[in-house]
Amino acid sequence: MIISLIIGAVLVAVTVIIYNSIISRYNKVKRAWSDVIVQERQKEKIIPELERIVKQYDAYESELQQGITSLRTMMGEISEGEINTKKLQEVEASTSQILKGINVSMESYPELKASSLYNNLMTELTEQQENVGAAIRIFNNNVEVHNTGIESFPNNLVNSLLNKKDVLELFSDTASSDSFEFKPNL
Amino acid sequence: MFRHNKKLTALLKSIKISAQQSNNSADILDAVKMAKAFEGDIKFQHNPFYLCSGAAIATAVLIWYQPQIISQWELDHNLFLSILAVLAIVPLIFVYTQRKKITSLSDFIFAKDCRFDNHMESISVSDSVISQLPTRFIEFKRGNYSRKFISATHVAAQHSALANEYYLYKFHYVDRRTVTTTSTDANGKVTTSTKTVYDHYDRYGITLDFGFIKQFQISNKRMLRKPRDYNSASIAFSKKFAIGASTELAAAKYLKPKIVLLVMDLAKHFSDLNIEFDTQGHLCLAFRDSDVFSRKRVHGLAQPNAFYEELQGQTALDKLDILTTFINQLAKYSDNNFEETT
Repeated sequence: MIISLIIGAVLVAVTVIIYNSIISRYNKVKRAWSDVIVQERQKEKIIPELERIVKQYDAYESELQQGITSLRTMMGEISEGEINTKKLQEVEASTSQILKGINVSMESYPELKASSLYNNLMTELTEQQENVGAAIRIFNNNVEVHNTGIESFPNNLVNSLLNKKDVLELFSDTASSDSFEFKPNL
Repeated sequence: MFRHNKKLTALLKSIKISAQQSNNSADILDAVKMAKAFEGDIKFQHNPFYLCSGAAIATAVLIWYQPQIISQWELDHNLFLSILAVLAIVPLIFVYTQRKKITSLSDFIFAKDCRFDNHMESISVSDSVISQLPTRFIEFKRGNYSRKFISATHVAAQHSALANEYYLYKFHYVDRRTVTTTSTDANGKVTTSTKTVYDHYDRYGITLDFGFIKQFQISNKRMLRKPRDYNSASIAFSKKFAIGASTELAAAKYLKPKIVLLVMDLAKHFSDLNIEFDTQGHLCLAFRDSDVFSRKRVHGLAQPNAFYEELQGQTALDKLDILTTFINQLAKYSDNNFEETT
């Protein structure tokens, strides 16, 4: 009788620990996702400044304006509450295109390229972009820990009965991975 | 043989004096040239000492098993064995000491050349920058028995891989603890004894005027000056490190995703990291690794030509490069890109 009670108490304790650890890791994934969005928003704040200075130099082209407008729209569609890696991929691809577009446009305006404010803005934008990349790496790392945490035994039993959390999708840069011929057998 | 050993001792003495007085890498190479010019091997000849030691051990073994051999001489058995033990051990100690002279001198020469190559200048531990570190950083609140700086080095701004000059140090601390042991003898009598144990530890670090971050710390939970609940979203980072800062907001501001990844990468190369910024923006980055400011040599004075070639090259300190690259990256992602224009 006593042994059964001890075994039962140990099982309950283990279940509670696993349940809480799944919740904790899932919340960390959600927070890492929020950080990605926060970094994206930080980047967004630089764009009006960039627009303003580009306009001063008459280097503002309608194509570039359209790109910046669509980037803003896409950024508005990704939210902190919902993990949507596909939409994030679109935003990231769009950012790269716009940055390339700005750099190409600026080739014709040497006085703009020499402007320290323009250079500072571009440095800031690059660093923000690198921070977005770092936030994505942290998000992916947390997703990996979360997925392992709900797929390994006996966590999978606790998850299927109590937590009911799904395996989360990693963020992957399809534009970059498409350029590789090798596709891992995952 | 004894003439060779005498000449070799004189040579080592000359090399040591030259190495001690050297002011640059060329002086070091000149000192090693003396070894290259030496006629004969840079190795002491110790055959008679080995012979003496071996004979004493063989005699002791023989007497141990056949004590009657010396009984006719009316000698004290134990005294005779003790004399043999001395005759066996003393020559070996002498051999070890002489061999050590060559390896120690090689170490000294290599370390000094490494310092010249990396523009490191030894400074006194009582230098104000070093002596004031314990008042500015919690890193030095270690050791409940004693703590002291062992050595300090300065790298001037013009030779620094960083934007500013920097200082390197070695710090030693001792923890004292009491250990109680309980033993039971054959009669069931329990005896309790206590003894004091001293644990010795070395820490190493780099310190400089950083400027972009103030009152912030990335370390383990025990060593935080102002612990904050805030931590990175990274599961791996928050398992390894805790954050100290003046406010939660400051912690969030400094702990950018890129910086989190940089620290995680640094932690792959350094153990027991403590990254601390004081109220003035000075950085003290401390760790347990002893191989950051020096490197192991491949050759020594026993192979003078190979050693000379080794010294001729630039001695790169790979882990110091990792450290300076990290600090430069930290500055890049912590500075204000608009400071000059706004």
